Amino acid sequence: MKKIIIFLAVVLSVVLFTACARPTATVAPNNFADALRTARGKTVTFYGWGGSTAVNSWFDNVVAPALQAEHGITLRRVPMNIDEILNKLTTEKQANKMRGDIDVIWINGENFYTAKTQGLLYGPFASRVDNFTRLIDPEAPDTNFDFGVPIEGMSVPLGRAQLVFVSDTARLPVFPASAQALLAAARANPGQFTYAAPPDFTGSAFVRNIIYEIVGFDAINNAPAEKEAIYNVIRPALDFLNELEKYLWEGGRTYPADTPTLSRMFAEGQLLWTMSYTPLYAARKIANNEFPPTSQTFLFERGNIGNTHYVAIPFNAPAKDAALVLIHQLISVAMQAEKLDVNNWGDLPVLDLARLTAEERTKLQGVDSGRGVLPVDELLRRRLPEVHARKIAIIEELWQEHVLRR
Amino acid sequence: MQEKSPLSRSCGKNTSCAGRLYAAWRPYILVAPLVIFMGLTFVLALGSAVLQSLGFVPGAAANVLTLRFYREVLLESDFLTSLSYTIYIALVATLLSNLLGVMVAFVMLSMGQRPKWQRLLYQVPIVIPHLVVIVLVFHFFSQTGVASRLAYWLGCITHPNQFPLLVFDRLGIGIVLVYLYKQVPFATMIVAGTLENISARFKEAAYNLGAGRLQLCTQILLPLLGPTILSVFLITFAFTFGAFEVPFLIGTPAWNMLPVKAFFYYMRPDLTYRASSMVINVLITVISLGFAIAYSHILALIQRQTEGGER
Repeated sequence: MKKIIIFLAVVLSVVLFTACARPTATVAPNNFADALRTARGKTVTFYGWGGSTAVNSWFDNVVAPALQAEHGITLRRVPMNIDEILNKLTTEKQANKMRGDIDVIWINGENFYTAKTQGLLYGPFASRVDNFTRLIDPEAPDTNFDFGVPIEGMSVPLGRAQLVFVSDTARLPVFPASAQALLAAARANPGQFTYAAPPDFTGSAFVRNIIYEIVGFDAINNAPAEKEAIYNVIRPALDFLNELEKYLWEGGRTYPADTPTLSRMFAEGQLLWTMSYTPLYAARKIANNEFPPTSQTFLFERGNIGNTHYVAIPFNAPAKDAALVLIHQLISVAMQAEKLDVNNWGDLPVLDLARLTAEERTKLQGVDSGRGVLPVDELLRRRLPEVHARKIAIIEELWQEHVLRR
Repeated sequence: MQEKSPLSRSCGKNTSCAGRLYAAWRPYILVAPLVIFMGLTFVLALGSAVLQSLGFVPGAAANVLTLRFYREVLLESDFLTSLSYTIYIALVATLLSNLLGVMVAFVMLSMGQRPKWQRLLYQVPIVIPHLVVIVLVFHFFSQTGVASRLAYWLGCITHPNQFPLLVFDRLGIGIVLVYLYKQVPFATMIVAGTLENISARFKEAAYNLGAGRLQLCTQILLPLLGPTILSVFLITFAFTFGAFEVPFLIGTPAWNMLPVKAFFYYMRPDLTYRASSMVINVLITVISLGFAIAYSHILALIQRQTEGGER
């Protein structure tokens, strides 16, 4: 048996390590002006989650034509989930493939933490992007930390998301504005509330939001990223979720596996609410006639979790100059305004309003954000930070052990 | 090798030698593409899975061979739950589909000459992919599906949540339904094929000796079908045990079947969990392999018994 293992190890390492030559990675220009010059005529390849037609359409129909017209660069968008992208980059790193085929990736949170610590990213590069230095607040928390992970110029903010709840005023006239109010509402309407089971992204954010409500952000933020310590801190919140569970759909014996399922159940009248990490989600669903026109977005009184999503450049990006120009384009006022438009994507801007010219500000504020949503300034005012990426997986595990499989 | 071959020793003239050599090596040459393909895709992949399960995950922190991940996975609180849930689903789906498959095959046999459309009835489900069946089951049996709407229309329920949860449920009813749709026709097809071949020879002899229909079934046909039913059982069980997409798409998040658990480990951003994922994959392989070995042993046993009976 040992011999077989050693043999396999030898075969595998031969295949993985010796077969490939060792080319060096392409270098990026040292300043933005050079990047603009050398990138012209190139193709830049963007890899990112492709599960939303609205997002895809913003890239394909808004960003791509603008990039071509202004800088002569062709945008190629490849839809792929971030975990698969990181798998691909990890494999390429293992195989020492220094010329990959991804120029820009869409990333945040735990995945950014993994990519940064595994050396899958190129950088620091942020200071070489013109619009980053001109339009983004260098002091903003999300310019410096992504889910508690120091960014250090390895990624640039692209947009801001926030957990929001959506209900139907016709069926639930008073929205629960706190965890305790939610418990009361669930008790009054048994079986008509639930949330998607973590590790679903949105369901996981909801559980953290409940933790903030019950034990406070500081308690969980100050706890060390160890299972035992976190369990001791969030125990009251887990107890609360177990109390809530009695009045959830199917008595909490099972949970929807993901948030699209949750929204479908809301749309089909099974549930009184749904939730989303896209703050203008309700407007799009109302416009599609999927949600009733009386649907309305709401937050907890003490605020909901928000996060920022970023773009980064892989270590082996073949066109790093074009990558810098694409990122510059993505955070321009025009693109950010189009992105905020609910008819395109409905994603909150990352720009610092104080740094914009009066004309640019008017452009951003005149955008149509649709029906059933909250104003951008209210969302930004009632916005709570995320905890460190490492704690999220631990919280998810604890939820599965103490709530789901209790 | 060549010295041992009687053909290569006996060849005298050059012309026929090449031909005989070819004749001797022909079987090996013919299977070579398959062996190379299987070797590259299966053995190498399995080897890499075993290595990764022992902690050899290139790119992750430590690259020392260790049994740590086996210990961690096996000692994890819900591993046993996952394992028993997997066995439970695979067993229920397999037993039910085999039972129904054998029954349908007997009914078809008793109907004698069959029109072609009847054959289509079990051939069509076999070619429909699992994914399509999942969608069908979902649209029919979910709480807002066709069955639920029918119940609402008939006044049996007033809210979709009153309809029993048949998809995403803890008992795995939705999962079992998908497998039944796929596996009953499979079992039927295999059993009916065997039945067709044996019934002609034994039926008349049995009737001549005064056997009734029931006796024919229980004394003659079922024992003769034993090995066939067993092989169908093991094929369907091994498949259900290791299949991923059905429990992933319409299973409950509360309990994960082993392949789904392996997937969640694999998709964790922390790369050391890949070792845990591979541990589960290796365990699935070992268990399936155990079934294959048990199968060949039982088959040999049955063959020996039937031969002994004939003597």
